[in-house]
Amino acid sequence: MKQTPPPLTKLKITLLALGILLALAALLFTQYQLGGGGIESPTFNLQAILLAVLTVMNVLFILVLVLVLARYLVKTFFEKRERTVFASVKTKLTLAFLALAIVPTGLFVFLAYTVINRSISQWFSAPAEEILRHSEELARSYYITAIDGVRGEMADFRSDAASGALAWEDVADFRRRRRLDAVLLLDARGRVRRQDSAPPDRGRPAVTLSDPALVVRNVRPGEIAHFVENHPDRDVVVCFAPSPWDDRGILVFLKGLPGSVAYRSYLIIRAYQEYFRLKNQVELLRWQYLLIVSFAGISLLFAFVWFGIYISKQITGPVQALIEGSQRVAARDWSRPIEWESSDEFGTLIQSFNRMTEELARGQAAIEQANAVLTRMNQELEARNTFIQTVLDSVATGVVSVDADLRITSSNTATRHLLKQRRVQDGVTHLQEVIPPEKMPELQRLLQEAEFHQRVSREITFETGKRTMHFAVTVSAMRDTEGRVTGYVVVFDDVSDLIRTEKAAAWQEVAKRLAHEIKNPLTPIQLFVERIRKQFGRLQDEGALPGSESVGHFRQLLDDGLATVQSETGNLKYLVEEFSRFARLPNPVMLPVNLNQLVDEATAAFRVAHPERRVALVLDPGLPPVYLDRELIRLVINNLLRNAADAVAEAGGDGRITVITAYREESRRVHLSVEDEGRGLADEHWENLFLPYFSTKKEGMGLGLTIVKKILDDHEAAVRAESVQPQGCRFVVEFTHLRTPEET
Amino acid sequence: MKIPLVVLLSVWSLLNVFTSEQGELIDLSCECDSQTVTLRCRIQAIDRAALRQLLEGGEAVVFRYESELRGERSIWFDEFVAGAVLLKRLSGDPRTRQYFGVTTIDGRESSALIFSGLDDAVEWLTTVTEPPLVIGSAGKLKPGAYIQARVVLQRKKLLLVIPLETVTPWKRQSVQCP
Repeated sequence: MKQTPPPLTKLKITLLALGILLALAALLFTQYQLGGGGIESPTFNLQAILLAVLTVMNVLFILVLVLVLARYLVKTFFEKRERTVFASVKTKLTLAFLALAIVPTGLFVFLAYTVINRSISQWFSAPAEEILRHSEELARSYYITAIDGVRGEMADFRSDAASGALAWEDVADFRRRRRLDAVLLLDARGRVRRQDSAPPDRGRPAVTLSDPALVVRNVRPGEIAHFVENHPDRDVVVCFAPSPWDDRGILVFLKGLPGSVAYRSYLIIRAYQEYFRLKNQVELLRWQYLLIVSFAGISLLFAFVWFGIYISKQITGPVQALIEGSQRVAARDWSRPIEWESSDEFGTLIQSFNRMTEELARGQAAIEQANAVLTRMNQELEARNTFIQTVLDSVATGVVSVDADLRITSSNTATRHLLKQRRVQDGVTHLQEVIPPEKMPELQRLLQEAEFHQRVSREITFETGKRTMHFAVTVSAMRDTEGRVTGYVVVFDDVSDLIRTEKAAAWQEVAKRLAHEIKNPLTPIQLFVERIRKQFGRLQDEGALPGSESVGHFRQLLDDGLATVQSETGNLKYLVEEFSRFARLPNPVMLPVNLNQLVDEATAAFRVAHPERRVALVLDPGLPPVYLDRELIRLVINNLLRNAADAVAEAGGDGRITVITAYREESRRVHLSVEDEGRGLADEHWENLFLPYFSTKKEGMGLGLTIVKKILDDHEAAVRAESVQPQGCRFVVEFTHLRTPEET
Repeated sequence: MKIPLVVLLSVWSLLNVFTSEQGELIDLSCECDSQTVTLRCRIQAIDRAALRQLLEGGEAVVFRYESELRGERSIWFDEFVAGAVLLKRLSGDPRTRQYFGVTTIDGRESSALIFSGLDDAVEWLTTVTEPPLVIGSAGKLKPGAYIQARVVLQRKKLLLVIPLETVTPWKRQSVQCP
């Protein structure tokens, strides 16, 4: 809603102009009636008009006042119903102005009317009336005396003329003696037949008859008639009668009356007439003045009401606009300023409010912009954090961040897996709780070194559970902007397999060199022992040697010695061949193979070789083809079966061997397990299980599992050993190179 | 829209104040000879006191006698055949208490009659008898013809445009000529 100050619309301008006109009219009429007028001035007609005009104006004014008030009150009523702010204040202000206006206006009307009424009563008082009446009689008697005098002269003249005592020739003398101004003798058409007039006196023209036709029209036989003519300088009494000398003539006497006396007499008579006219209309007059006063009162009331409405709008309008504006601001609507133009304090206040709103809008926009940037950065950080956490969770390296008090602030999945700590809680768990106590001093030294170097690394061996784990521990110190250490990042890299592989590789190299170094002298030794045996036998057969007891004894000793040399040489040869075979394992040729079928075949061959052993197969029919070297993996299965058979034999010889295949869809791996019911492994044997020349058996080179590990490493397959409850051991091989359905 | 309407109504009501009907024409008689149709009539129930008041107040009173000869028509306005207007002007002289009456017919003014008393003057003013008012020729009359007449008290024109009149209603009488 557009908030504007009460604009001067066309309707309002019309109303205003009408009000001003009415007020002016009321003022003029009041002034005219009370000031410049007087009781003799207004005529009946003018009064009637005035009365009518005043009545209509009063009605009109009351109508407009009621219309304006009703419109305003109805509008305010609906505003109150709609809970528009300040609606009730506007109503109260307007009604207060109305109430305040009614009392003085009513008092004004009452007092004015009382005064005027009293004045009117005084105007028509008995003494004034008496004076006027006598004055009117006096004035009229002046005319009547003059008229009666002329009529008397006419009667005398006619009487004398009728008796023959007077002829026209005597008229001049008669006129002078009787002080008449003119004597005329008219014919029947009003033409002057004879005339005798007094000469002009002191510049005044001679008296003449203005309207002879009037005389002709009204002359009656035997009757003397008269009337008064108004001349510019005097009134003239015209008296006429039929001529005494003949029936067709008209005798006319003219007598002029002094102008000043006549005029004053006329004024007196007019005033008397006006007085009685007004007296007859006194009620009308009272009503007229009441209307005038009422008109003035209603004008005053209208002005007060209009002023009240105007003031209430001027006061409540800007406050209402301010409230609505502040409500919009509270609702975060900065878009629309308060549109109110005023030069007063409210205008200044609204301008200040608009400026404040603009500042708020700008501030809000800046905050929203900054918030958007922060949100975007936060999202990026969140994404980066998620990415880092995902990366950390996906790597096999354990990463732990700790604060200065060595409390773990964050850790990845690998950490919990490597340190065998399932209950690590970020922000709660202390580093001491996850590191073996005997290794803690070593780790703390590492942390202290990290404070002086950017990064320090060291290999630390932990005993976690039953195993010995080798970790390459790298520690980095985290610092704040002032260089103070706020925490550390500890990275645990499991290098156990690497060390084992390195050891195996070293052993493989050793075996290769040993085989080479031993094998070379072994054949000459064997040949030379054989040659000694043959040469000594031939000498004995030829009898070149004495047949003494000592020779026989020497012969026996030589045979025994040579047999021992031969036997040991054979053992050494076997050992060398085994070493050579371990050292010369071929590179695998990977082809998709049905592992279940391969297990079946290998197990069948094992059953033929070891019919005394019970071998069970649990094969997964949904196994996908696995990329592997068929012969090498056959060797692996065979070694694992032999290993299991030896374990069962050591335990008593009746245990069962179970070969299991399974497909783990979640990790896309194929598991091959060989389980025995032997005695299981001692804790100290787990670490060296796959190292060459390690064996718990009395016989054997300790290369079987080493070869298994080597072959599986070449296949990028993992192998691990687990304990089986209640007794036994399980070797689990995990193949990762599977043939996909698409390839199929 | 409201304000102009209010102003219009007010002006109309203002005008209506100045025009009212009072009095009644009586003794309306129509005479018809071979040549002309004439009218005689008098006014009754006029406010004589008001009339006297006006005259004694020095104002002139003008009665305008309007008469029309019309032929009746069934589906349209009646036909106007002829019309005549007679003005009777009566004024007084407060000095002599005499009254002067002047008659004007078709713009021709006759000389004044002097009345010494008001009763005679009012009698003259409210009566049209001798001579009767000639309305028109009798030769054009058709069956169903009638005359109608009214009297307008025309005091003076006020504010130049608003005539102040008191009017009697039209009085109608059929005409039967030999």
